[in-house]
Formats: sequence, structure tokens, C-alpha cells
Amino acid sequence: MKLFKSKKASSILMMVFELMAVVLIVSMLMLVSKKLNDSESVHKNLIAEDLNMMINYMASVSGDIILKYPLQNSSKNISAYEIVLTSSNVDGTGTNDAELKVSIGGEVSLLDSKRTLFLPTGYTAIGIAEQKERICLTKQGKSITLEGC
Amino acid sequence: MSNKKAQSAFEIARKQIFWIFMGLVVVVAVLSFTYIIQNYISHLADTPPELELQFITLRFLENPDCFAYQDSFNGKVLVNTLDINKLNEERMDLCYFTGESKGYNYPNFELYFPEINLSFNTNEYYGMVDHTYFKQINIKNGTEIYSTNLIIYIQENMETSRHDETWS
Repeated sequence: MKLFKSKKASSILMMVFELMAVVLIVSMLMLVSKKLNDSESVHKNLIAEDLNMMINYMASVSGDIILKYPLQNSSKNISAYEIVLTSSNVDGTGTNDAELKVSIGGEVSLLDSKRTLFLPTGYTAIGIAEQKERICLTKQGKSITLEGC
Repeated sequence: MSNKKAQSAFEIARKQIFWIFMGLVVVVAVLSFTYIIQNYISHLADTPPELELQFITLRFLENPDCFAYQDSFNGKVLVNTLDINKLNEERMDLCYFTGESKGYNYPNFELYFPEINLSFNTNEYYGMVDHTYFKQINIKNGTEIYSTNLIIYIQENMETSRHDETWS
């Protein structure tokens, strides 16, 4: 079977394919770079890190406490994020860990920021704040809750 | 004539092989690029580990569910004063337990009281000390309160273990 009528036609067709491949590769790289280059991931990491330290601090104090995040006059905006705090409580092996997850709009992504916390036995840490401008972490007895405020 | 045909077919086959190879190279390049950027981003927001470790160690000294002394009559907690009856490994497991499977990837601690020659540690502590924390504390033993030294050895993460840093 004759694939192309002339050598010139086949050469042009190959060149078109090559150009298409180059355009595809460049757009793929640009898409990946754009997705990774946004500052959302850094913000998510910062929020997760801040909340991780706040919860660890709350597990240290003996009394009840409310911590608000971010500060009243802070320029930090957390309204784009969904923050979920889940506690496994006592799972039979003695582990009492909690997981903190910061994502955008609740979408599951590889770039979600996650932190694992280990709380004293009997403590629970739960809550969800979806697109809230400010969140409150409340410790009452052995229960730590996260909610919008 | 047949020689020209063969040359043309060879040309096409050569280009196809080139693009298959290039495709593989590009996929590997994109994946590596993604991995490098992700790694960079995750470290961009790093806070000094000492800060987080300070918050965790605070529970050993201030939380009555850990080792802090709490008056049984009025419920008052004496900050920085530890109850001698709570200073044991069972209590440590109740206070901070990292789990048995991957617990070594998280901070683990050893509390050492040199004056009374007492030490105990968390469940996944293997002595790979990254930080050493010195603290002057009080110990409540019955009616008696005495001042003593506490050394907290911290194994930050067995996988990324660095070097010993002393701080107080």
C-alpha cells in the first residue's frame, strides 16, 4: 500500500505531526507548571502548620481555651479553604491520633496539606470549617473542636 | 527505485522511534519536574522544628493528664511541677503515643531526671537524638517539693535524622 503520493507530502505530514507533538508537550508542561506554581499550596501548608502547633499547644494547657485563627487584624485570608480535623480516638492499640487536612473547596488533591497529631489518651479533636474567614479552636475538658466563627 | 522507497520507509520508521523515545523522555521529565516542585513547595512553608517540638514538650510539664501535678482538693495545676507518682512509662504512653507502624517518623522523646536517676521514653524512641532540651523543674513527692533538672532527648524523625542540637 502506498501511504503517501510523494516524498514531499509525507515530509509535510510528518512535520505537522512533529509540530503538534511539540505544542502538546509545551502545553502539558505549562499546565503542570501553572498548577504547581500557584501559591495555594504554600498557603495550605502554612495554615496546616499553624493549626498543628495550635492544637499541640491546646493539648498542653490544663484549662479550657479558645484560640481564633487568623488574628483579627491579619491580612491572611483562609476563606478559600476547607479545614477538616478528624480524630481516631482510641483504636484499641493505644494510639490517639488526629488528622488535620487543609484543601481547596473540599477537593481531594495530592497537594492537600495533611498533618498527624498525637493527643493524650481520652482527648478528641474534631471539626470542619468550610470556606470560613475565621476559625475557632475550642478546648473544653478533653475535647478540641474546630469550627468557623 | 526500490532503494528510494526503502530510504523513505527507513526515514519514517526512524522518526517514529525518535518520537516514541522523546515521549518517554518527556513523561519522565514532567514527573521529575512535578516531584521536585512539590518537594520544594512542601519545604517552603517549613517552620523551625524546635517550635513545634516546644509545643509538644509543653504537655509533659503543664498537662495534668501527662505529668504535671494537680492538687486533688482544689484541682489546681502547678505548672512546671511534676508529680513523682506520674513519672513512669505507662503514663508516657497515655500522654504521647505515636503508634507502632510508622511512629518512628514522628517526634519521640526520652525524659531523663539525672538527680533521681530516672528515665523513660515514648514508644518509638530509639536513641537517635536530634535535639536535647534542658529544663529546671520541680518535683512534688508527697508534701515535699524540690527543684531538679530535666533533660528531654528528642528523636525528631528517624528517616530524616540530622544531628544533635542542644537548646533550652
